[in-house]
Amino acid sequence: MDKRVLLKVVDLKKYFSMDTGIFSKTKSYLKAVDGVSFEIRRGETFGLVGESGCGKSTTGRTILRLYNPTGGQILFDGEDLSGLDDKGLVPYRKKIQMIFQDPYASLNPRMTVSELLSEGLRTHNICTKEQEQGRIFELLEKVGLKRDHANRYPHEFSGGQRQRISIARALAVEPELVICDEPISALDVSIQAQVVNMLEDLQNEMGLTYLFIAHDLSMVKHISDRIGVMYLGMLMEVSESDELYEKPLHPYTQALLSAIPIPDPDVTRKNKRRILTGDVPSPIDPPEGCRFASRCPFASDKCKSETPVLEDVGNGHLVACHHWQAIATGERKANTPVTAVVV
Amino acid sequence: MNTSLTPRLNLNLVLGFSLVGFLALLTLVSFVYLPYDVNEMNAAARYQGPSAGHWLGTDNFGRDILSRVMHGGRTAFLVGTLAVSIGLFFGTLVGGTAGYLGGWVDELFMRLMDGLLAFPGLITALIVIALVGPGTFNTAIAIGIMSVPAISRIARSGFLQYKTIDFVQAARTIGVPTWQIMFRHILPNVASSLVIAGSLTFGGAILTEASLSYLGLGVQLPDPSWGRMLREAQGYFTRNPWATLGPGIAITLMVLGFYLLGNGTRDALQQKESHL
Repeated sequence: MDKRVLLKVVDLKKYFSMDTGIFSKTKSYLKAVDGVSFEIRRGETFGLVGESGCGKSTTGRTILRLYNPTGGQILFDGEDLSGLDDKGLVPYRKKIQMIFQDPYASLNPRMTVSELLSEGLRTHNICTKEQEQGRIFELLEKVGLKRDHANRYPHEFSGGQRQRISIARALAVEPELVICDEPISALDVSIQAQVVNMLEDLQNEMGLTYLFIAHDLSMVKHISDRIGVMYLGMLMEVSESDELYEKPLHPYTQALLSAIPIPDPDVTRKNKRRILTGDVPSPIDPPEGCRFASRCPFASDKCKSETPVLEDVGNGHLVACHHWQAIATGERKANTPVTAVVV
Repeated sequence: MNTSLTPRLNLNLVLGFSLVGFLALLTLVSFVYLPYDVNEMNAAARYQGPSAGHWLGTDNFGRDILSRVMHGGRTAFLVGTLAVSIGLFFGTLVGGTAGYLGGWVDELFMRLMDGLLAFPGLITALIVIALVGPGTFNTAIAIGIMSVPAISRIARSGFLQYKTIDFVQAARTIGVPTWQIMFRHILPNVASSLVIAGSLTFGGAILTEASLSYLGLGVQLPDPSWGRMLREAQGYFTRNPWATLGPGIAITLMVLGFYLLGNGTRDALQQKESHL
């Protein structure tokens, strides 16, 4: 296996069974993640985007084994985590960490900052009792907080500061991979940039690898080296981030990108946005074929019966669409008028 | 929305605290001073109503009812504290484990609790007493066991609510052992509802103790207990109805006091929690 690859996810599946009753035998499943494969190289940032409910957070949490995967492999440094028990996971708990979306729910309101940070240090015996305080001060300064914040409780901090505490807690155990689950979406716009810049600085300083989950496309483009686009539990497209933004191949990615607002009224007026009609289908027992077929303007009968697989179209650019070539060349026209001028 | 800067008076808490405090004070005083010896009989002063010499009157043996009510407070507080401790300990253990671990553990534990709950509380207590025999400690144990199912349900719902919250997931991510997550992360957050449940159970426990003693199965002679005093007073109710007054009022105030205390604590904690 490629030594540069830190995390390789192979055909990861996470189904949640929906109990329909004691006596009914047929169980239905909510297929939150349905066969997702990607790899993250050491030191890079892999962005995972998609609308809410598409399974990106579930993917992150399944990699961390907060959920037990239904199928597939999670290869971390070549070691499969998908079948390990709690005990076997302990060494990987040190190597993979997570930053949560909601800074108000992710810190225990009844523990002080130093208690929050020392927990990881003690669980993994990272330093001696005497070194602990110094280590906590170091961590606080690293994330831009002050030493005298150590004895305060989370409710004394703002959202941005809480997120910094959350980051410090993740870094306390000196992880290699950090899963950032929408770490900035709950923050003020003015704070978002600060936190993202800090994450980038920390990455350079500590050689971290990020899996960055978000729905804010412009922020993801800024921070990510490569990006995966998810829709209804499946990956639609994976590519280097610049290439994805310049040359999106999947109709879903194209629609997503056209939705990014451009802060110039002239451009906005001229720009034709691709408006998707309909709603995201339910992930409970999703239909066969391409998940996006029900909303795709280019969909054919083949799309509704055959699930397209991610194919490499060169340059590490992967796309899961039967018609990507025909769409790119303009051969395949949309079935329905799909563009609209937004005034 | 209260706009004034002075904190709103928590009437439940103040009243409950006063009532319980008053009874606790009487009980404490009984250790250093009692108007009469609790078992001192006086044939010349039987069946008396309230008077300057006997504030709450005397019973069929001429014993001073006030002294006996004060002394009976010891039994009430002892049984209540013991029963609530047993109930909270096992209830939290069973409910917390069931809620946090889920799956078959949850099913097994909660179905057991449902089974226990299917018996009326008093019957459960009677069965336990039938097995271990009457007496102050056994009564406390019986009432404690009786209160386990209700507390376990409260603990379970609390643990269930917190097990999916992000800070618990974060602790799992760090690799914090399960028991440590349960006791360090979840329990302190569930504690307030458990304290309230405990306070409400306390009132119920005293009532049950009185009922059991009234049936003659609880606290045994010669320890005075409020329930037992009521039972004895019933025998000569037509000759001296006053004898029921002292223990009756004591039971009422105690149960009401703990009930108000429980509700008041809930209000106070909820106010505080909204600031967290």
